[in-house]
Amino acid sequence: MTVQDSATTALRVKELCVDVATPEGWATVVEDVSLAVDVGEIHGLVGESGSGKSLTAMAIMGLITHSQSARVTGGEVLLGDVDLLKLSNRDLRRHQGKDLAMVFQEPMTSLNPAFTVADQIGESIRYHLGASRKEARERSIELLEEVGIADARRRCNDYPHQFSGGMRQRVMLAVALACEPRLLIADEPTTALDVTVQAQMLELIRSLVERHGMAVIFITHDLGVIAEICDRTTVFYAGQVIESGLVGEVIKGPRHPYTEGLLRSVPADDDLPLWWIDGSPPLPGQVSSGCRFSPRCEYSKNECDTHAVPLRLSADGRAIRCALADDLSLNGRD
Amino acid sequence: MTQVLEVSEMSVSFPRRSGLLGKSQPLRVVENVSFEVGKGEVVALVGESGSGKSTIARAVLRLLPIDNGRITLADVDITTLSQRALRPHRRNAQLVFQDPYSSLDPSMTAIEIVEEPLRGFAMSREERLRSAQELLASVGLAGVEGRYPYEFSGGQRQRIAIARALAPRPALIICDEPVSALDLSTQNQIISLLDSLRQSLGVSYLFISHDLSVVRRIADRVLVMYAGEIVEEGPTERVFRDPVHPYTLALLSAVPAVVGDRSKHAKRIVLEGDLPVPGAPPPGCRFHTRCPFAMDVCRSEVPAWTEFDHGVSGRCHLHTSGSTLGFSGLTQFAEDAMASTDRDRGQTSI
Ligand SMILES: Nc1ncnc2c1ncn2[C@@H]1O[C@H](COP(=O)(O)OP(=O)(O)OP(=O)(O)O)[C@@H](O)[C@H]1O
Ligand SMILES: Nc1ncnc2c1ncn2[C@@H]1O[C@H](COP(=O)(O)OP(=O)(O)OP(=O)(O)O)[C@@H](O)[C@H]1O
Ligand SMILES: [Mg+2]
Ligand SMILES: [Mg+2]
Repeated sequence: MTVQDSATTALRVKELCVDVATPEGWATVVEDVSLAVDVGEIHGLVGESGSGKSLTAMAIMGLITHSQSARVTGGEVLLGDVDLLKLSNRDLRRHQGKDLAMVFQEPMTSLNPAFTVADQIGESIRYHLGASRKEARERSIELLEEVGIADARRRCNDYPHQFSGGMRQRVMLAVALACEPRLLIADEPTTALDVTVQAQMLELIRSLVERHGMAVIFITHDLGVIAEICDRTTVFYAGQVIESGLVGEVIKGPRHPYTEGLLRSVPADDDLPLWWIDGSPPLPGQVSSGCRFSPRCEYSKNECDTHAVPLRLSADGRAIRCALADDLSLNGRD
Repeated sequence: MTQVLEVSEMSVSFPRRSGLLGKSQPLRVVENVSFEVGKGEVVALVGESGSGKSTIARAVLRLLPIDNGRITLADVDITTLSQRALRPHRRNAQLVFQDPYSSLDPSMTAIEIVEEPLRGFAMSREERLRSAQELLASVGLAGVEGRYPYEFSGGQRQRIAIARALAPRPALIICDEPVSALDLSTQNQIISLLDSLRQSLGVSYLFISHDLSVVRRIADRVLVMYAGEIVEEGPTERVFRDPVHPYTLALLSAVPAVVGDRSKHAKRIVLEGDLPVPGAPPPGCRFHTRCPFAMDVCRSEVPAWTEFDHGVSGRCHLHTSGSTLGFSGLTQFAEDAMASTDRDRGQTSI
């Protein structure tokens, strides 16, 4: 892989590992994950539910260092030259919300039920930008309007429970965008939104990317959204990166059987029966030593179960974790 | 019993303090909705975020008070039953939530989660556990009874939630965005599970979703909501092929495609204009502030609920007041209209 110019790389994650507590002890659920996101780039993370996308995002944000049930066991998270994993809480807080901000997958667990929406959006504007209470409030109203909340001036005094599921998601986006962060991590930010509102949110994110060169990590299970707004994509399976590359190339020519399966699950013709990858992913702590997808893989050979498969980088910037990749010709979508 | 659920002219408000005096003024977020769900039928409720879908789900289950209207569940009028009198009927309608993470009690094992709703029944503990075990097996989760929610993937958790909803043998399951948190492969697995349960057990679903490709797969009929009102209703096939309401058309046109094929609705209609304010809808047609085809009449007169061919009904002046649509229908009309604006602006896409 070419050494990327650090002036254009907004974030670089190297060999990140996260463990979670299970009844049988600690289990690794994010293993050696590496990612790089350029300034002005939108990088999409996809993968089955439970594959480690949110934990990766939380680790980057510095949010699992003090948790009882999860811990970062290795790796680096470089924002410019600073390794966020090495910062003290106090130094980290100076970055959170300003340099990097996150839209959480579950708005209700991250919005504070005891504060009005205006207070929550205004808080980081006051903390980071030193705005007055009144300025922060006006800016909060503007932001609510930008995320399509009607009657924002009045509704900014409401509490989170007074909003619908999709409206809460948009409030989260407003909180995250309040200080125009250099890096936005958006964890399933549009799952509760219908397509018209979703299109509006995607447009808002894209405009910030274009205007300010914001870098974005966009976690979604919607391949349509990946195709629409992302430049690159990284596919997760059972805690590992199994494929990565430019969006167009991955969709047209997947090189890992799991990616092929995900693409095949996209309904094509309404008359064809629904298709899915049989079986379930391994539970944390119950992964085999060989390829983790092998038990569900239609191309699997004996060797797949016995040898751990390294992530291989090819000359064209693709990364694939499949021992058979060179021999398979997989179907994408076009 | 042919209808499992009948809702007629139901309105729902939330109390809301406003102004300096903090006077409470109700905010009506669901206005006069009527619909039915037949036995073994899947009815989808789609519509914009904040349009009132979850409110309808909760009101129908009497988890929220209603202003007026009638709710009949499995032939029993439950509108005014006391919570106590309601209890035996509650089991007839179960709810599955969007979020498989927070909707399951983290301190209970899978089998306890499924067994719990059976506790009010005249069954021994052994019978309840056996029944719960069978239910888990029927959703493809045999042999994992003693595990806790966090040990399962999102798709597996959603299957536990479905098994729990099925436990009291309800006539109706209301699914509020049951698959939107899941990846596509898992979504497909769950949808086909719901479909096979409908066939084997005859349960009906009220299926709330904003994902039209999912709705198209599973629903017999679809109800489209906008700003607290139902604006269109009909057989899924028909509504998707030739919607009568411009909002439905806009919804259909905005689905992001994985690959550049939006053939059926090649052009995306981007909705502009003021969003509806809950509780204070604009006069006339509620959609007129954002409708690309709004006429004068739309700004002043509420369009009447009208029945069209093929079992489709809806409210839109384009079809009724001195119809400009002729026989070509809304889809063709919209394409022509957009083509001519493109020519005027000298551009090719909207
Ligand atoms: N705090 C925690 N304690 C214990 N296990 C956890 C914790 N958080 C996550 N896990 C487990 O770690 C694994 C990865 O979870 P993560 O939330 O990162 O998945 P995800 O890819 O974001 O999935 P989804 O698409 O469902 O959001 C899962 O098996 C999950 O159950
Ligand atoms: N407890 C509450 N108090 C006050 N207003 C509420 C309350 N719950 C919902 N609302 C308001 O009622 C309206 C309809 O909300 P509802 O949750 O039914 O929308 P929805 O169609 O389910 O939207 P979404 O797709 O975003 O989940 C919204 O304007 C919302 O803010
Ligand atoms: Mg997640
Ligand atoms: Mg809702």
